[in-house]
Parts: sequence; structure tokens; C-alpha cells
Amino acid sequence: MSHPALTMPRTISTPRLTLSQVGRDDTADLMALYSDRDTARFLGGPFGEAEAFEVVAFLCGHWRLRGNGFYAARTANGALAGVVGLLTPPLWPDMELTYTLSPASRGKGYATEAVRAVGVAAFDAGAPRLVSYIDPHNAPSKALARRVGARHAATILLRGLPVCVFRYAPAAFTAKENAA
Amino acid sequence: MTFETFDMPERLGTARLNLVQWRDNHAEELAVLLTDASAMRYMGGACPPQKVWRWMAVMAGQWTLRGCGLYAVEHDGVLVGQAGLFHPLNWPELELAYAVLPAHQGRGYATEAAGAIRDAAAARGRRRLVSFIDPDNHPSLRVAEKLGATREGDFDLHGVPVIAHRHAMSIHH
Repeated sequence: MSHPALTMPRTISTPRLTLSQVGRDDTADLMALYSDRDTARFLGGPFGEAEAFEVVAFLCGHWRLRGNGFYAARTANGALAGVVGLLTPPLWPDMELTYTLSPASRGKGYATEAVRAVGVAAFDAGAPRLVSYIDPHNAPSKALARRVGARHAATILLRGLPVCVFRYAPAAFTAKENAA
Repeated sequence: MTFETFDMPERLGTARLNLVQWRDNHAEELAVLLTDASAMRYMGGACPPQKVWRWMAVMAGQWTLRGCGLYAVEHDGVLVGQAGLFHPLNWPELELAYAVLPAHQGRGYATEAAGAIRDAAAARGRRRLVSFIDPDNHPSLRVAEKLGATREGDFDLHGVPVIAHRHAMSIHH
């Protein structure tokens, strides 16, 4: 499956966050994120140190291969709110909008704010379609997708496991509200 | 946290080869190497086809994190192998690693690519490079010999017995 070339901006600003293309300086924060048992539960983790470093390398390498990828979303004081971005491996039927939120940042609406911003930027850059592939047991993730206007369109097998396909419509991102 | 970084050029040229950054369209050719159980028997075994692209992204991403990494080795625009400076977090040091696609072996590509990488690293001040080679991997051992590396001894690389070959880091070869 080849995805259309999609060049995304390296930085995106939202009212409370700065989203920057993941890089070397994010390594410590990202490794901590992916070592967290709760956070990494639906990502194949939690990961040991060397594996977590490899995950960070993957996040950086995705940009090099695709011209798009993952952002480190940081608050004004520099704290990592989460990792939000586009995931487009060849195996994926559609371009995926994915999000991993730092435990300390939950409940503040940061994820909604960041996901909406990346979704808008992706459609602006010409993404034909945008989905999130969500584990059927991951209720918080489904709730977030719905808050950003996605609809549960189907359930498919991805890498042999069932996932819920939440589909984003460009119009849903023009909603003015920022509240979680 | 701190981890070692070392800046290498994003491209290198040799007499016959272009060492370049990984691109999306390398995946199909790279899969020919990575999914070949025989070719991969000294490199951790065959990789399932659905993991090839992820591995390519990891190789590309090491460049961002460390400033160096494995190149896609091309001959006349065709991928013939991977070679470069390899350093997962739990590697003891930066390794000069090389692997050639089965269809392109026997032409001296590994020696040519690895030699150019070693020399570029030496020219940038690198004084230590090692290659970890399976004791039964005779073609790779021959490449290390041709490069003038010294057999340093046995090494346990996370449970895998290998032989460490220490490269001679002079810019005069």
C-alpha cells in the first residue's frame, strides 16, 4: 500500500501547546513515556530502555521516509504533554492520526487540542482521508477520537488483530470549541 | 540522558557505489535481504516482511538521534546492501556494520562501502570502530581482514557469541 506523499509542517502551534517534529532533544522524555506501563499498554509495551530508544528512532525515521510523522506536544513551560502525529506504514489502509498522552497531562484537554491541530494540518496538506485505528478495549482513546469529531466507521483486522476504525471528516475540525 | 553522537555526511560516494539515506522506495529491495533466512542467519535471523519498513525507519531515525547510521548502498541506482555506523542503545560502542544482498555478493561491495565509511569516520576524528562478526560468517570475516582490522577476541553481544574486529583508524589506506 503506498500512501500519497504528504509534507507536513515541522512545527504547529495551538493556544496552549507547541508541537514540534520529534528529534534528538526529545529522547529522554519520549523514552520515559514509552517505558510507562499504562501509557505503553496498547503500543506493544511497556518497553525496556533499548527498545524505547528504538521506538524514538522509529518516530524520527518516519519523518525521513515520509516527510510527515510525529510531534512532541509541549506546554509553555516545556513539559511534554504527549506525542501526536501521523503514522503511515505501507501496511496501513489509510493514514493514521495517532496520539499518546503523558500521564501527568491527562484531564486538561491537551490531547484534544493537539489532535485537532494535527488533523487540520493534515487535511490542509492534502491528506485524502484520516483515521485512527483504536484497540476495541481502549475506551479513553475512542472518547478522544469522538471529541475531535471522528465516527466509528468499521472494525478491521490490522496485523491480525481487530481494531476500530475511527474516521475523521475535515468539517469536524472546524468546530470552535477547545474544551475537553 | 546522554548518548553518543557522531556526525557523518548524509551521502558518500565510492568508485562504484553511492551510499545514501533511506527512502520509502528502498523497502522492496531491502526486503529481499531482510526476509532471506539464509542471508540473515548471522544477523539475528530473517525479518518478517511486515517489519521491513519499520526497520528502515529505525535505521533512518538513528541518523537523527546520533548523527550517523546505516546507509542504503546503491550501485547504478539499485540497492545492493546496507552499511554504516550502527549503535543501538545497548551496544557497547559504535559498530561498522555491512551486509550485501545475496544477488550482489562476491563483487567486493562490502569492502568498498565499509572502507569508505571507516575512512570518512577517521577523517572526522573517529579513533575507535569495531565490527562484531559471527565466528561462522566467513564472508564477513574476510571483509574485516581485507579492511586491515585486527581480531580483538571473543565477545558476548547480548547472548550472541561474536568476534570483535578492531578497525585501523588511519586516514592513509
